[in-house]
Amino acid sequence: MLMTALLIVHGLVAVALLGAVTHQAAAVWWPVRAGAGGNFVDRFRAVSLKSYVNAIVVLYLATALLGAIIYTHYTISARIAIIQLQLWKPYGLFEIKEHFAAIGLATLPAYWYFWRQPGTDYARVRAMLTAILTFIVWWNFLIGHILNNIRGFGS
Amino acid sequence: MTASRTFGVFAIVFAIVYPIVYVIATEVNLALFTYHPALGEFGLGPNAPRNGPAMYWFGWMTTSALCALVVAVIAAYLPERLTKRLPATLAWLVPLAGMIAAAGLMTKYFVR
Repeated sequence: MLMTALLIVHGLVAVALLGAVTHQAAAVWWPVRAGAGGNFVDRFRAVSLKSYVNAIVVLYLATALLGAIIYTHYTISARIAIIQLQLWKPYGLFEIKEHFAAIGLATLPAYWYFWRQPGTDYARVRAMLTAILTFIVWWNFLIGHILNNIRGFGS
Repeated sequence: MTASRTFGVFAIVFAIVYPIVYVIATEVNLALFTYHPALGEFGLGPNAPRNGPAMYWFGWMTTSALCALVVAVIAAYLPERLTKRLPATLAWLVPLAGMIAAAGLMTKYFVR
C-alpha cells in the first residue's frame, strides 16, 4: 500500500518535471519569434527560461529519490517476474533508465550553474544540458510506464 | 545573480568525472556498498546476493559521486590560470557520451 502510494506520487512529480523541462526545452530550442501569433504552441514556447531552473532541479531530485525508494520494491517483485518471464528487452530498457537517471544527477550542478550565467556566452551549453535532461526525463517517464504496464503493482 | 567561478569549475568537473566513473563502476562493479532489499540490509562493497537479489545501483552512484566530489573540489580550488581553459562543452559532452556508453553496454538484453 505504501509503495503504491509512493509510485503514484512518483508519477505525479514526474509529470510536473516533464512539463517543466519540456516547456524550457521548447523555449530554448524553438524560441518564439518577435511578433509571432499568440496561439497555444507559441504560448507554450514563450516561457521565461530561467524561472524553470530551480523547479527542474528540485523536481528531478524529488523524482529520483522517490524512484530510488520504489526501486527497492521493484527489485524484489516486478524485476524477478520479468526475469522469470525472460522479458529481456523491457528489462534492458529499465536498466538504461536507471543509468540515465544516475548520469542525469551528475549534470544538475552544471545545469544550474550555466543557467545562472548572464548573457549568451554559454547559450549552447545551456541548450545541450537542457536537451539531455529533457531526453532523460522523457525516456524514464515512458519506460517507467511501459514496465508498470507489463508488471506493475497489483499484477 | 550569478554563481561563482569556483562553483562553475566544480560543476563542470563533477559533470565530467561522475559519468566516467559511473560507467566504469557498472562494468567492473565498483559499488561502494550493496543493498539487499529482501533483507533490508547493507553490505560494504559489492556483495554476492543474500536471500534474494542484490542492488548495486546505489553503490555505483555513491562511488561515482564521491570520486567526482573529491576531484571537483580539488579542481575548484586550483589557481584560475589552470582552470580557465577548461571547456564548458565537456559538461554536456561527457555525460552524453556516458549515456551512450551505458546504453550501448545494455545491448546484450536486446540481442537475446
